Amino acid sequence: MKSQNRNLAEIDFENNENTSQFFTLIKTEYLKNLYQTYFWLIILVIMYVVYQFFTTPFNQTITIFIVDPVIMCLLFSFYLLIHFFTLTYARFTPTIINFLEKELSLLDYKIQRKYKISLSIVLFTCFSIIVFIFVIIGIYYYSNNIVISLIMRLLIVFIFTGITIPVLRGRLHDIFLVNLRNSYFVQIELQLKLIKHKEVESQMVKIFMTSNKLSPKADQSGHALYNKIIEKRWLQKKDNKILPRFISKNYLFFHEYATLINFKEQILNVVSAIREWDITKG
Amino acid sequence: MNSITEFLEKYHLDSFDEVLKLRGNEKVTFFNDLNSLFGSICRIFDKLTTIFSLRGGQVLMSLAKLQDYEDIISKTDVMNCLNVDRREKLMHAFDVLLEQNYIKIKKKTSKFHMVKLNEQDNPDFTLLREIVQKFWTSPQEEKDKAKSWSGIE
Repeated sequence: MKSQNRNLAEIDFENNENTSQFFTLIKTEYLKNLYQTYFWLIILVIMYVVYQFFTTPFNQTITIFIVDPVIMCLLFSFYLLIHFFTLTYARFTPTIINFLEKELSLLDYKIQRKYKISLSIVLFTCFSIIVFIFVIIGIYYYSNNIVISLIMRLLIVFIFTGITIPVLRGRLHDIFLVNLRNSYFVQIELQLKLIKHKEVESQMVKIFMTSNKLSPKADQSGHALYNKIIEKRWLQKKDNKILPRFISKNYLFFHEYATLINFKEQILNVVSAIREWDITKG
Repeated sequence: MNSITEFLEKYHLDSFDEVLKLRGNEKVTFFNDLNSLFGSICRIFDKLTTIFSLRGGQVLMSLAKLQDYEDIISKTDVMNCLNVDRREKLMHAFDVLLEQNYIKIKKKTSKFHMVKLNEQDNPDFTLLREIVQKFWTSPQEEKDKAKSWSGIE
């Protein structure tokens, strides 16, 4: 890894050989993380399925053992741990992060990881806990075998999706921030398409940049200024991020897209647009 | 017509005391000159977009820009103007531009290389220089403006 990091200083997109080495390194690191995640995910699911298999009696009468809720509690705690830890700590390949940090330091900016706990995660976790409580209550109060069996199967699906969704969000689609003056910031989202072989190397890592909320769309003077700036700076009119943002529908944002090759120029373009917005808007 | 300055002077467009009056052939010549300028701009686009080097076009633009301030331009000046951290990143661009006869390089010492746009062999570069010097904001200038906007205290 040390030698790889040393190589990082020599990254030169003008040289095809170095560029290929760089993307191979990113791909290796990324796939290593991804396979590790899925390995633990599969182990967890296998453990649960094996447990279900051995504890479910073969006769028609299903007995609820005392260990059932204990095991479920453990699994659920494990799920929550994975949920939070993957989103908080497990990130992209160190090479990409180093590269972004280095490029931004040339502009005197600092990158910051955003994923603390957003509202959507809190809501999702609350929903998970409520569903879990209902499942426990259901197991205790329903003597109907079919209902119990159905609930247990739903629980497997719930745990599996509960782990997979945050892992996918955390691993494949992450958010960083670059703080600016006057509470403005640029949000950076990365999208890695490293498994598709058809993708051009430079397009394997896509960077979506978004400013913070500028003004409501209903504000006509703001809208006019916004249009003027995005036309002048060739900024994107639409948000091309993978996950739609329903909350942001009624507000104006600056959007820009970059790859690793032109990242520095493109982020400078967004920052300049924000600066122009702030100065003109007063 | 390969110069916007020449065009402005020919028709006194920068003089606000005179009224621009074009009659008969004058109007035809005016449009021909204007079309000639647009033709040159298209050839510049064509050259910039077909340079086989990622930063080749930007190196040409920075050379054009720097010629406004300095008589002697070094490779380091170009590097600073483009806000690039290492000279190696521009090596390929300089090699390609030299090979295509777009620039001239004089090696004064092993490290000090003087660079210049080759306007003699590429007359369209005069127009490129004029436009760039007047309207282009270099990455260095853009960075200087945006630098104070860093949130780092």
